[in-house]
Amino acid sequence: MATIKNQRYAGKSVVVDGNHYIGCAFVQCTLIYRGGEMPVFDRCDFRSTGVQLEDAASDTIAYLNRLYGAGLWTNVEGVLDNVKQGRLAAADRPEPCDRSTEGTNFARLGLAAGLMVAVTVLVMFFIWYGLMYAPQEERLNQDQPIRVEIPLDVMPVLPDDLAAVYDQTYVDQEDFLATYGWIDEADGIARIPVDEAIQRVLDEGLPTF
Amino acid sequence: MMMDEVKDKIFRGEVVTVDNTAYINCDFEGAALLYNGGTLPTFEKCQFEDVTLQFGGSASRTLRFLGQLRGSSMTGAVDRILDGARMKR
Repeated sequence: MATIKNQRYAGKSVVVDGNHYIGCAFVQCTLIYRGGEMPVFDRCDFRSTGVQLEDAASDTIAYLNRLYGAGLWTNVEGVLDNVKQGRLAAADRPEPCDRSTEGTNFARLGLAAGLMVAVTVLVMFFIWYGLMYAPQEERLNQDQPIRVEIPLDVMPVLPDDLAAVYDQTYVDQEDFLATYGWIDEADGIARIPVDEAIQRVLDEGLPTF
Repeated sequence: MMMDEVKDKIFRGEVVTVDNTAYINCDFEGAALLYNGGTLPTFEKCQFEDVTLQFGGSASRTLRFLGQLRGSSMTGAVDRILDGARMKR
């Protein structure tokens, strides 16, 4: 639809189909309508201006005239009366707009947004309760630090000569790190002294497997 | 455009799209005559009983256009056009 603003027409025939007139003035003009897209007049001024129908629009009046002559004058008078009163019968009303493709259904949008907020708040509440509140509540209720009690029969037994055992373990580990040996002889995996391994990495870089 | 021709038919309680059709010796009983602004139909020796008139397409837009203009200070011009529906041609 073409929009025409603040235009003044004087002494002209203006075809109005499909136009949106805003703040226009028509002085001694003839508005021609041919049955196309309805024109819209916003804050327009009409002075000594007539109307002329052409094509399909003209045929519409001719059709009513034909029905009038065929004896349906009561029906035709009813139509003319409705036009004068600005009333349209249900069958004559424009089709309702497809709400799925036109405009924004703000009510539905608001409902969807509210639902999303509610779900988000609920999820966050459960996360907070599970992570923060419930453990804290347990600790506060018991009035003691949280601890796990281990039955005595599964606790490790420490040897009486703990120091000697510790020293021997240290020697054994030192020997393990400083000597060659097999990790898995069947698969051909061996170990080398850790100092040699360090030097090899410095010389050759990290191995790629 | 060649018009369709319908003869000796009874239309009962249905919506009949009348554009571009010549009706000869037809009966319309409780039917709705729907006109969309196409080629004018003709009715020869037809009977009408309890019919209603419906308008679609260009015809509907024309009537709405006239109604809109009439409400915006162009009453005289519109009424002259509507009177044309009653005039003998």
